[in-house]
Amino acid sequence: MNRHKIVSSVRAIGFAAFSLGMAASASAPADEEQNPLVLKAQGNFYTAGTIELRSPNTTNAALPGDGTAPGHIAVNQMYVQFQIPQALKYKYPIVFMHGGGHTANIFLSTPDGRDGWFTSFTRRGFAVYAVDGANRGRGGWDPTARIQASVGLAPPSSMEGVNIYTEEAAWTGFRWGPTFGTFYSNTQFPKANVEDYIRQIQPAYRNLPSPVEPQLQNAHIQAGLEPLIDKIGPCILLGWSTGGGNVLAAATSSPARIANVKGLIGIEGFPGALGNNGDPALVAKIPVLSVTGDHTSPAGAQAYVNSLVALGGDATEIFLPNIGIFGNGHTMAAELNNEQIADVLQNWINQHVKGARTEE
Amino acid sequence: MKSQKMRESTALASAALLALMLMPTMAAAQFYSDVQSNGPLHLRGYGSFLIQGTPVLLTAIESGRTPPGPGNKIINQMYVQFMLPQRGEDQFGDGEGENGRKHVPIVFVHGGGLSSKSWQTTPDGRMGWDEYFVRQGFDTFLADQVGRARSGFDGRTYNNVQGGVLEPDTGQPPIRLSTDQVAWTGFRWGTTPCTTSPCYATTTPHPGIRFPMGTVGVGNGGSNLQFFNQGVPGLNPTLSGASPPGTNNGPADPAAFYNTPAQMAELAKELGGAILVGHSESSSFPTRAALQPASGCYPWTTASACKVKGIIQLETGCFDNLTPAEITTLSHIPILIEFGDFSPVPQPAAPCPTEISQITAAGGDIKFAWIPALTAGSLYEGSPGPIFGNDHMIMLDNNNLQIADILIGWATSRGL
Repeated sequence: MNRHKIVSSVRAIGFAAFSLGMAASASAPADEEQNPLVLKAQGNFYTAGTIELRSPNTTNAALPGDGTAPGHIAVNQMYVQFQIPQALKYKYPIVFMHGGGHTANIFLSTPDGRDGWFTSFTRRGFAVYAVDGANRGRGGWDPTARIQASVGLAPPSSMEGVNIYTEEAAWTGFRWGPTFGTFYSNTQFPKANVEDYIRQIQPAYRNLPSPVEPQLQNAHIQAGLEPLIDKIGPCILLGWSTGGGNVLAAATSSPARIANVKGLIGIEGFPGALGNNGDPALVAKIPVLSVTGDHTSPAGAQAYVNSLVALGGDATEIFLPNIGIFGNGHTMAAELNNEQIADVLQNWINQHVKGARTEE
Repeated sequence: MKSQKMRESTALASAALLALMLMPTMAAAQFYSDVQSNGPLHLRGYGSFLIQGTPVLLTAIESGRTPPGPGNKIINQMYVQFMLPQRGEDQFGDGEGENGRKHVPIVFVHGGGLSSKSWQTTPDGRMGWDEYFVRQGFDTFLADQVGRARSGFDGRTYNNVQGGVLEPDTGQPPIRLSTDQVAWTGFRWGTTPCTTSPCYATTTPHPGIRFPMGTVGVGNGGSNLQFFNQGVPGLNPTLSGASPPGTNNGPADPAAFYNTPAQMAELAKELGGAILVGHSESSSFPTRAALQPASGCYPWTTASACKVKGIIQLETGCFDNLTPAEITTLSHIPILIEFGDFSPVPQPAAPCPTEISQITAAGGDIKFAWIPALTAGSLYEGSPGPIFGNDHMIMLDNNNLQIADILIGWATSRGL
């Protein structure tokens, strides 16, 4: 019952509602204190990536005034941040994997300044991990091709481009509305916060034309997830959009990982693209939940789930309108009823991920 | 009370170090199964937001999409991540009650080739300044510089070069890499400049250096290079405001528009007042921010209108071209300048003496803390004497919490 108090506190800090004033929030109303987020620990680290030598011929060291020197740099590493609640109610942490054009931020705070799933699931008693995959956010990337073009060692056409989501592409692609500038009447997207959302969309640092670069980037992301699974042990992986394929591939990449991954959740992310989705026969060894929002067809996800069930798997497709939840788009993690959908995810975990709760 | 707090901090750091030394790999300390709790952390908020940038219309080529998709995008936005301590919690259980004390919010902005990771968990797994300041009662905000990390960047340039609209040698700004040679030399880890990679094999670290050199390969033959993962190539030169255009340099005029300082001023305004901290490349940014219109500090009117409440410059960031009006503004804002050990020249080095004398003459409060040359009590009542072994990355050093206590002691003494 106190969640909205926290929400209002955080929202006052968010730019969306800045005019309400930070002063009021900073004065710390007493009832803010009643639902604190109590952490056993929080922090961050990197996984995967390689340390590679960039020689003077492939760096921009010779460019005047730049002040760089050759040497070793890290490329393609994955940034990971975590929270562990003081009151741990679940044995298995959840790993949140973003989709294309996004970072871990999609799970941190909603565009209207409320808790994202990262903190929501911490409050629900889970340890949580959220990542920035290689080539975006705080993850690493390799600028060599671009530098080679700058110094004339390669033609500019050899450079990776940058895939930039425009507001128009996001609007219809994420199903906020049928056409740019109009909303579905039942949309759950925070309509006043479109610009707040657009700001968090960012280009990957580099994108080669399909299909080369998607495979390369997905391979880097998978390479980042694998040691994370190995280190944290038994866990639940949640992938959104292309992140769905990433978690399927990472979870099934070795027998040990198949054993460690206790649940797979795809938020409009399953079955993933060919070549980035794991062997269904191996995926079927792990409980699977696929969630699809409104204004689209769940047929593809349902067919995938059916194929896993046929292989003996415990797989479930939830088409949100079928359970009375309407108006969600692709960005459901950031939408107004994200807590309601989190309830759906938690219920599935309770029912399908054996031994998840500490009291079991 | 202060000395007790200092002992506590030192003990914490020592315990963390000891725990790390006992582990097979230092990185392991950062993973769930090996987490060393620092004691419960009580938060009233945790999250993120972005400060508004500039809308631009992308051409089909600039969008980089297949098929081409021209449209609107926002550039120059700034990503901010925050933790807010619950009020009145005694996080360390030492009964001092210090953590209930209200501080002014604090904003940290990282240096070149880096991200906000600079202020977070250290590469050897110890508590970063972000969590420590929260535990000491500060609402703590980390901003990724505009054009870097989670702030995103302006990708138009690269798509225009790839698409043949711009020439690569002139149209495409350089991408600055934080290589091991840049780090070893620029961060003052080695007794001599590193000119051959890998530096851990060719360069001798300063005796007594406090940086966790094990995370840059020292003593382990390069098997642990965790620190270098923090390096994120900087794309600032793609942004407007650099001087000359296409470089990493800010404008010579400290009051001129520059992307990240302008956004820092917006952030200070939204927070209703904040201490701004810059480091290295961004060490001048708090001052630049105070001179941006959004700060309410320039031209100077009143203390309540000015939302930059304190300036902390780590590893310089001074100006010698301040105008009288700029000096007036800066003379109303407490300023602390920090510089670590192993400086090749005596500190404060130019242009800091000029700025210090100008602001002091105008009645301002500006202190230069050259850490190995500190005089006890010179920064605030009870401030420590000299501390040796700190380098450019002081927030990651093994005494990072001891240094944080100096900043906190300074802020507290100024009513911040």
